Amino acid sequence: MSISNVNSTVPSPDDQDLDWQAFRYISGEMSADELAAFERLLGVDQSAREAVARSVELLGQMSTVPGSTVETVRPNRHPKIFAAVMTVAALIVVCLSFATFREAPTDEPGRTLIALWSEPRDPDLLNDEPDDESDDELAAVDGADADGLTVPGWLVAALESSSDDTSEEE
Amino acid sequence: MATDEKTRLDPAAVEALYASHVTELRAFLIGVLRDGQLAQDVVQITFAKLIEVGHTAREETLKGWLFQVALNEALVVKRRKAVHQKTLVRLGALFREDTAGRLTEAETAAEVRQALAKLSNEQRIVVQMRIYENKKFNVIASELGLPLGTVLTRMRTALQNLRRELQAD
Repeated sequence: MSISNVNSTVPSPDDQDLDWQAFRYISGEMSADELAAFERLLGVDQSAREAVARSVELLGQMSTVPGSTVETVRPNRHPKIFAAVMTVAALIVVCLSFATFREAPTDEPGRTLIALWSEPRDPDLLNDEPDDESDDELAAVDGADADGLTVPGWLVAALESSSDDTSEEE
Repeated sequence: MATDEKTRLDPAAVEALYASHVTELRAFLIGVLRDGQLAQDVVQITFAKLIEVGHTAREETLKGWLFQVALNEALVVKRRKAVHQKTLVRLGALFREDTAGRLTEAETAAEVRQALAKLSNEQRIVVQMRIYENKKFNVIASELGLPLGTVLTRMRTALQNLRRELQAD
């Protein structure tokens, strides 16, 4: 038995290494060479034998708990694939952002257009009040009467000249 | 105890040695043989030899002598019979079956749950897959997409932590 086992319950690094080898031994995780070497060690080293016993005793304790009741949060089973997909998605987003940025107007005509569009509007143009003068002008052109419908003068003149032409022909 | 080479150990001494070492010796033999019944057979052979020739061993080395004799017998049995690998949970259960009454199962289970809860999630996953799902380390590494060395390190650290927690209890 090693000194650490006699004087303390805290295993020394050597004991921890033996515990790990013992666990690999009983779980069948050793190569043929490792197995032969470890069984030779068991033949001469009492602390190695005790390490095997400790590993079995630990499994005895562990076997009191059904594995299905051990709570674990499993990560994505294919993190490399997940990382690759996320990288491609990020690249697509970056490319799209870059393309949109390049389409923004940077030339002089574009800037002029934006500046014009952004200028404050003429207050008169923005005025919602009806413009009496312009309405009068329209009425004069149309010969419209505010009180009702009347035949415009230009239409009368046109009709008169047309009737004159037809009478001369007759 | 062993005052004369021709004098056998007295029954009380053998009984005391049996009480002191049988559990650990049996655990050791289950680890070597992976079989509860074979381990029990070798325990009986070993203590029969203790009665016969144990007086030839020095008192301070009697424990080592017992394990040495048991190992030699176990390796003979192992060469003669095909020893099949058991799942780790089954191996633990083989040990537990013979020590029923010494381990209070409900209390032990609560302590194990507590110890498992103190592990990191990464360590607990590896413990779950290796011990309870009986997957080899290379399969675990493949399924988790991790290097084999990372899986081995997690398992080794988890076992150290579990031992520390369960010994403390």
